[in-house]
Amino acid sequence: MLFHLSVRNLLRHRGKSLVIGSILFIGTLIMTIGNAVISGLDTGLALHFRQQLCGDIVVISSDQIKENVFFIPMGEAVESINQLDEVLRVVTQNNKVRVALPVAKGIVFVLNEDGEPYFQMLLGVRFNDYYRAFPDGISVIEGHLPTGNTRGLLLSTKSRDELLTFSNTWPVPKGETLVTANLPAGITPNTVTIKSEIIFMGYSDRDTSLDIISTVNAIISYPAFNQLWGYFSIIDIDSYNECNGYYQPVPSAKISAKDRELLANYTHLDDILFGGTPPSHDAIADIPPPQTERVKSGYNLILVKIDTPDAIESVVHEINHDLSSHNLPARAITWKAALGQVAQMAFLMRAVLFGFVTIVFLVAIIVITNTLSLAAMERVSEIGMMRAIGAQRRFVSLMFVAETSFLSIIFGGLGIGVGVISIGGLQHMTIRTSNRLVELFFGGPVFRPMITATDIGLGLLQLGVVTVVAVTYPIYIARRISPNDAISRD
Amino acid sequence: MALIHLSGVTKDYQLGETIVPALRGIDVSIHKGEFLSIIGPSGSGKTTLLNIIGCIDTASDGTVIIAGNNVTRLSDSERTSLRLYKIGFIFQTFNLIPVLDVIENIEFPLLLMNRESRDAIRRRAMDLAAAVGLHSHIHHRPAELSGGQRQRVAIARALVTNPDIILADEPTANLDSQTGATILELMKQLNTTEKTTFIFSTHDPEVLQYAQRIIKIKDGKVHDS
Ligand SMILES: Nc1ncnc2c1ncn2[C@@H]1O[C@H](COP(=O)(O)OP(=O)(O)O)[C@@H](O)[C@H]1O
Ligand SMILES: [Mg+2]
Repeated sequence: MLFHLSVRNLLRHRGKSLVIGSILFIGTLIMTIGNAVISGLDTGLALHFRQQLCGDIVVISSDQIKENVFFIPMGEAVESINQLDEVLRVVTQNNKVRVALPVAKGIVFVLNEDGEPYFQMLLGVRFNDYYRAFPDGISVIEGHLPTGNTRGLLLSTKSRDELLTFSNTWPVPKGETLVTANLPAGITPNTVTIKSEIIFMGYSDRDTSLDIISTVNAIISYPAFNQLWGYFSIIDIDSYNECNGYYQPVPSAKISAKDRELLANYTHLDDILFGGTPPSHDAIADIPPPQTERVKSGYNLILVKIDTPDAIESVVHEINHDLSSHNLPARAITWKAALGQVAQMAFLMRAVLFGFVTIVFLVAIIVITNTLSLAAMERVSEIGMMRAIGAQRRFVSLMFVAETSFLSIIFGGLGIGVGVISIGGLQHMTIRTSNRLVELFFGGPVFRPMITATDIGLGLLQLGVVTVVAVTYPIYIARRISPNDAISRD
Repeated sequence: MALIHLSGVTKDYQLGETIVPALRGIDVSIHKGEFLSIIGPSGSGKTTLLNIIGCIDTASDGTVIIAGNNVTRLSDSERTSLRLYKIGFIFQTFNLIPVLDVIENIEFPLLLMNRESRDAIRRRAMDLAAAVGLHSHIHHRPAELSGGQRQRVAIARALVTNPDIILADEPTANLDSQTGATILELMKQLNTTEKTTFIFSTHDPEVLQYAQRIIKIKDGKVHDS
């Protein structure tokens, strides 16, 4: 009977039913799409940043204070990791660690004949290791990826654009022909200098830094977040180290005691080359061991991928525990921490979206509460009569619950359904962006909202909460209607 | 023992700062099967008295015993049950459920009781619809009926549970005199056939000819009965 009565009442008060229904429909629709966008954002960020660019965990030097190691202001160097081999060994000993890729991240100058030198951000790696760590991390636009431990440069499209701006140079990979189609509009082959080599100058306080000539093997872009990550070009670690004045790892065991003494006697090469008296033994004893014995390379990050991406925090904790118990000067941080503001932006987007969904939620509750309360007041004499002829308060409550539940199930269900269908449609539409902010919002270059069973469950839960909360006050009002209210007085 | 027994019943209404005494000490006993009219001018306390007898309102003071229950001691839920099982109501303004048709309105109290099968309920409602002469209108909604027809539905609904008492507050006030007369005749007839106690209020002296017993009330007091 309750069913009957509720349906008839809903039909009788069509206007109100439609108002509440529309709110529920729009609310659940926005919630469903919002949740899907949030899910897509999360998954997209994880997919792109973690799988293609920076891994799940980043190990940095203990001396490195700022954790946002990727997008720190220009010029601030990231501290190199001492005892890299030991650190790597400890990190890879963790059985959840799948990949641990040492990377030297830093800034060099690009020298050019005509203009001012300007900065270039480089990632120094072993190419093969890099490809293995991030198999989908780069797209080749021109040229070929070098293999093995060769020297070379993977110049990002963004770096190439900067070269064009600053020195009117258009690098083309060695041995390749110019692809005119890739030239920006308004630029013709005659107006630019075509080159395959770039001269980098070390930007560091080491007096040992060098100018190096680096040969471009390929022009690359990053499939995701190219506007952000595209500042980095990838170079072989040996060139990187040379350029920045890091010595190559020289196994100290190979130097015999005799040689060492000899070397000590002739520490000042200038003296050897340009004459002068070799310093005495006593004086040499006071000379601190050269830094190169401690920092042998510019490696300052270890990008770590793990098998249990949901347990980042606990793996970070484990690695840090292991590192400190081995007394190693390094620590692990999450990819979010390493990305700093970039990750925060994405999470801000998430918060904004969540806030929006919450507002929709609240508005729905307020409007429904209002409408139902008014409905209860309008039906005072009818409800009073029901109470007078023997309906309990419970019956009145159930009548309201039934009516609201119907609307929730029908319109809310419709909202979720239409939401799911729209998301399906959006997924097929392939909406792309190269805008940095929008890309963060999308969680990648393509808008990929995602419907998961959890999201549908969450949507239903939200709908349930809205229904229950919205109906509470009207029920309170309706229950207070007394049988006396059915009686007309003159 | 009387079906209804009131002694020293008073009812005061709070109207802002002032207290309005609607009933000032009523002592009444009503027996099973009576066809009784409460008469008095407007504002004399007829509705208040019927509401107290019908457990719709509670007395400020005094004792109210309905079908053996001391009403003053009952909870809201218990009073609701008492209304459902022992009392039928006919209202001045008919008060039907607008979204239900005639037969569904008549069935409503039985569905609240939820004691019999749907079939049994429908049969009983059909009998009552026939008894009030509405068997050809069972699928009409209240809005499609005349005032007299609506009041017949209300009578059928009041009777369907076979209550001990039927209370009707000015049941003919919103009807023309001829329709009013047929309604009263119907009530009288059902009083005879069903042995149901009828208590109705009126301020129309013409209605009095139907009454078997009359309680005159003025300024919240019984004058003679
Ligand atoms: N809810 C109320 N609040 C205040 N005064 C009331 C209320 N109901 C009734 N009264 C007063 O009680 C008296 C009796 O009213 P009522 O029982 O309705 O009389 P009747 O039905 O005979 O016209 C009247 O003076 C009326 O104004
Ligand atoms: Mg009255």
